[in-house]
Amino acid sequence: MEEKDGLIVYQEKMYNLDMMSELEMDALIDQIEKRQEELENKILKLIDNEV
Amino acid sequence: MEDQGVIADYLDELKTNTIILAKIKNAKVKKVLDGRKNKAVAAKEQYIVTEAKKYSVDILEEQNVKTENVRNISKNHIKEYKEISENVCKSYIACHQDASIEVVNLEAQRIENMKEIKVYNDFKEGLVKKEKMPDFIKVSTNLKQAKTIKKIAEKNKDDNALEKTNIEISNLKNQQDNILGENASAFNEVDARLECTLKENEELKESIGKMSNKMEEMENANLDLDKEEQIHEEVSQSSNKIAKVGMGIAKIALAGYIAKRVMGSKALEAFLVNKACKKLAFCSLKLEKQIIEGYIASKNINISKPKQYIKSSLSFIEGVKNNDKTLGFNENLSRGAKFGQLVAKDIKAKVKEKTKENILEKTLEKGEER
Repeated sequence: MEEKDGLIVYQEKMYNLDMMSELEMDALIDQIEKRQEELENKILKLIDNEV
Repeated sequence: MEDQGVIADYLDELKTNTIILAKIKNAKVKKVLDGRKNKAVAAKEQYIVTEAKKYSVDILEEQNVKTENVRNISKNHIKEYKEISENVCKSYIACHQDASIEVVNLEAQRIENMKEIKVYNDFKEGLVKKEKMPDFIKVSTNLKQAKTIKKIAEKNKDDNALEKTNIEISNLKNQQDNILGENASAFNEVDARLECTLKENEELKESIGKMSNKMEEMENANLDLDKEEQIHEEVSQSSNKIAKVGMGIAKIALAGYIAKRVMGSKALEAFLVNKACKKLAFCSLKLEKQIIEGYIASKNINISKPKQYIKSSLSFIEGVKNNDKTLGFNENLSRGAKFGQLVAKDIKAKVKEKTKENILEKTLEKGEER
């Protein structure tokens, strides 16, 4: 996961999925889903502002 | 405008994250499924081990009983043969003792006869007058020589020589009678008795010689019995070896059962079970062959059956190898056991019969000699 200009980008190359445990995967999924929600909210807010 | 750029960046991130999320979720599903599969395999393995343990107890117990049976058949063989040997031994000892007593009696009789011969000789000498003694000795010497020649002629069945010697003996006897004069008839009577006693003594000597030879034969027979003991020992060792091999057979049979019941492989079970059967059959055959050969060697039993037994054993093994793969282990094993029992029974009967014949022969020979 790298931060760039206020954006968080998940790079699959950084994670070896074969070596990860189920718990680690769940944690990562949670984290990404939260970030997705956050992004969606941000986008909606920006669209509202524009309107 | 600025906001639109930010929204585009957010959307881009959103898209990337969605793809990554999907990949992670897929990987997770695969991991979960693999985990379940591994658990199922482990459970199956555990099931195989449990089943194998469950069956192994029963099968090993059954195998032990069968191994013990094989061992008992061998033990019974050895016991039976030892009893027979002991009986033969006792019979030899009894015959030997009787023969010894007979020899002593014959020897006593011979000594008595010797005494008698001396008395006759002394009496004969007393009948000859002193002045006629030189002539008498001369004639007696010639007569003795003529009698020896007569014996040789009789032995060679030479009728001409016999006739000539008879005439010479008759002449010499007349000369002897002339020398003896009035004592001639007394002398001839004593001489006839002496001749008789000498002949009897020759016969006694011959009987004693025969008895001594017989006793020597019996001593040699005892040496043969010692050899037989050695064979028993070898047979006993073989039987122990077979008991050890029994465990090996049990293991192979067990593998066969596991193959069938747990893995469901009938072909593998047939292969392993037949392997066990063949091993057992070979061991039994080896033991039987050793017993048969040992007894033929030591007792000189001239029977053709052993060859048939060996032939049957080989065909039995051949049958197991080629045709009887459909038979279960128990069927094959019981066939092997039945075969072993038949062989044992028949051989025991043969040996018993032959031993009885031997004892009877010895007894008859003893009777004839007496």
